Amino acid sequence: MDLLTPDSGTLFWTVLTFILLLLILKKFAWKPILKTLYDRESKIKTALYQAEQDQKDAAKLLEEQKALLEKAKKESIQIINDSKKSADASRKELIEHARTEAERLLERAKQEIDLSKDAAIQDVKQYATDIAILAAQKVVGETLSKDQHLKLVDKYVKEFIQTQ
Amino acid sequence: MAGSFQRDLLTSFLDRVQEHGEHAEQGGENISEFIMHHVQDHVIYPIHLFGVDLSITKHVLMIWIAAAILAILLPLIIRSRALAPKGPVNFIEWIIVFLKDAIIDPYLGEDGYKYAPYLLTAFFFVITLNLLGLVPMGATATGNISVTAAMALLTLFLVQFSSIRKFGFRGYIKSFVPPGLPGFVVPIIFIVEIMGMITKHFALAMRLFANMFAGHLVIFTLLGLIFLFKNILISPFPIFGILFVSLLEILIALIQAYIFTILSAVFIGAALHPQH
Repeated sequence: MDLLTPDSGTLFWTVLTFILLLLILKKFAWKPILKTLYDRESKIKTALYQAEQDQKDAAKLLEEQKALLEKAKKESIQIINDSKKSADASRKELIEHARTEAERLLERAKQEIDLSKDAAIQDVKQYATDIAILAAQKVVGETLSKDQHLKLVDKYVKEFIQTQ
Repeated sequence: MAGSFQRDLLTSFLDRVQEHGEHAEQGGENISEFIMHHVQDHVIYPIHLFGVDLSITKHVLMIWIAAAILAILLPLIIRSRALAPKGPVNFIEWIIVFLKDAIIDPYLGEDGYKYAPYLLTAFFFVITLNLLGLVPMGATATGNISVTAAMALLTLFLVQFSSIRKFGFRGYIKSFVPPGLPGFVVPIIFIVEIMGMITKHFALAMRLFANMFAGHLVIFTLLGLIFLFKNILISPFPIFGILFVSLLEILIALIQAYIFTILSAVFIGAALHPQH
């Protein structure tokens, strides 16, 4: 039975027909449709990749914005705190300054008072001496020598100071 | 009624078997001749060139019909494709996408684009030949060992070619022997691997041939029963049997075309990605 014996004619024609069919279909059928399919596939792939990338970018941007907002908040708090501190400091400084100024004025006033007092005492002394001399002249008469005069003055001044 | 019908049928059957036994020579040969006449090839137009028989046979004619159908229909259908395909384009595209996703991409990966035309052509060619065999007055060219052998030879050549193209001739020879073997085993393994290669492709041819041939053998054998029994009452049984086997044949036609394509892809993929 020649059922399993390959026949050269059929073999030859099959191979020839198949190769011709392959060439025709490759040019007119497979190339265009495969191009469409692969293009579509790559398009979908790129679109998916792009979408993923965009999402990542958006998330990153959001994160950045959040961080920026946080930073701004912190900075504003910092600024408020700083201004509070500086206001405090300047207030304290002003008060201190005023106090020292007042103390200085007081001190000066005291000194002036002391000076005036000393001057007054001196005036009073002078005045008392003059009165004493005047009184002595009236009492003793005018005939006292300069020396006697001075001695007397000294004596009375001493007595006056001692009685004081 | 039914009982008498069955009894008649049984008597008839036994009579015929007895008759067949008595005239085994004559009746048996007629039937088997009838079956073989329908499943075997016939020369339509004899051609002899340079001492080689290149006759046009019935199966060669079927191959040309199939090739003509594919070469005319597929480009026409595919030319009308659009962004949102419909109708025949959608159907063809669906088949191609299926083949691409199920066969070409998994087994060939990035090389798929190069070998897709061969695999797609092989699939459509085999499936058209298979289905044409089911058309009345048609013949199953894939039920002819010459046709399937030619297809298997094409795959065999493509496998060798793909390996040589990728690894060069030295790499191609080396790919037959896995590395790291002791020297004295190498010649044995080399011969075994080459035998394995030939066996794989021989099996590819035999599988398609046997599947397509067997189906038609069963159909014509069932048909032959009517002539064997020479009784009109027996005919519904073979007819239903033939209907069932024909439906099965449609399934087998699809499955075998798919198997031929997937195995071709596996062989090419194995040649492109050896295990070392």
